[in-house]
Amino acid sequence: MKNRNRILACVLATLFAFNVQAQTDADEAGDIDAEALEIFKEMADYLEAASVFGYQAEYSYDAVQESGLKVEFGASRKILVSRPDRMRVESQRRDGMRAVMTFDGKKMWLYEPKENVYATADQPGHLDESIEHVVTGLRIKAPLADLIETGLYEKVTTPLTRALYLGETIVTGVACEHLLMSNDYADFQLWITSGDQPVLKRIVITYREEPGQPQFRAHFLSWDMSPRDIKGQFEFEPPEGAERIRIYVPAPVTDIGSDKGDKS
Amino acid sequence: MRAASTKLMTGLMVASVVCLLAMDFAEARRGGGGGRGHSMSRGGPAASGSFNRSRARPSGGSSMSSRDRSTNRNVNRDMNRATNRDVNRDVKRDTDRQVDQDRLDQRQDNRQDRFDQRQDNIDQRQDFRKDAYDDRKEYYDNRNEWYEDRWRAGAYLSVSSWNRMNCSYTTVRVDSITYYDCNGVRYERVYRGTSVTYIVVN
Repeated sequence: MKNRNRILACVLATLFAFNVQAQTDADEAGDIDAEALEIFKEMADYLEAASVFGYQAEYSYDAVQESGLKVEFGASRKILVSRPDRMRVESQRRDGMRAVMTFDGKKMWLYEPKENVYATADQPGHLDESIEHVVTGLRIKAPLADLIETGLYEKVTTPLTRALYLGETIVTGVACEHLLMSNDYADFQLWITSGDQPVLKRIVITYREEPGQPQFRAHFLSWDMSPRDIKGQFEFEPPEGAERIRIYVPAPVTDIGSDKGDKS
Repeated sequence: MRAASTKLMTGLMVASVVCLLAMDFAEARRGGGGGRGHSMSRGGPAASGSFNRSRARPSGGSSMSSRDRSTNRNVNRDMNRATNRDVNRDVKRDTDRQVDQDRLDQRQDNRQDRFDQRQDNIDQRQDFRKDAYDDRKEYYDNRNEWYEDRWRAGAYLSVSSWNRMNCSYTTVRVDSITYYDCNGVRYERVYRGTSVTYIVVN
């Protein structure tokens, strides 16, 4: 009798386990929408195939204060890329601070016109390596640098826990495909323009695993996939009287350490 | 009367200047502000605009508090397991078998010995864990102090805060680097990210 009960319990437990696994598989399959991946891949491939392109965008993000309050900061950015190793980024923060970053293929230059100061560092290689060096080595933030680097599709979809196609929407008068994707760290909504030139119109990244779940938002004002008059855009000559200053790299961020972040 | 008034005015002016300097220096230690209005932190992972944790937190570290919790959880889990195992075993033995009193007493003695031995082991493990925890805590305290020292040395002012100080600074040029001496504090103008800032270097 005892043995029969044990066998019955084992059978029930096995059936339950199979049921849970089947349910999990179904949930996972339901969260990855092939259409969403296809739309995203078209955009990623389109950007990666472009040898020269540029865009203008308005960025904003939440800075979570020690009190828990979220404060929005932002900047306007104008970016021009010439693969494999040239790039120019002009940005103006909302507090008026301007910065021009130029990758001329051999060196990276930073210039602040109002203060008339500049800094420079060696460019370690193509844009992928150079951006990696700038972000992790020099601790300079490069929002949405993934759009410029190669392998955008793989970077965003590995690992991916969710990819949903939410339908067609209109963003500031432009028809877009609305996607919602997640990885183990963040959720991102993307609005990709409909048609044969799929580019980002808007993106909202929610850092789900971070305290306060801050967001980064970017609204793309324009894209230029065949810019003209780019000659000289990737060169930098320090203006007369400009002072060269150093790039300060703060101590690494740790939970115990104390890089308090920029203040404004 | 007039002399007293003059002294009072002078005292107030000196106090105001000292107060302003203290405020500016405090701001420098906090990490700077930008023009008018409250100082707010601009940092955080969302500023990275990155899809992945590695870029949003390029040099993330380990958390001591989570380690502590883990250590405590392990200790509790071990103790609970040991206790539950003993209780279950006792119940099973007492209900399933009939034994004579001598054997029962003997087993109880043995059990007590084993229990005492296990308790000693648990205590010993706890001592080891406590020692390890103390060592780690000391290590992190030291690291913490080191980071605080570095932070104090790396305190900075935004350009607008620097301008607002309206400091009659002097400059010293060493190895093509210009240092700015203001109110007894030495600064260097540097790029911090893409922003020009004045960091404290002494």
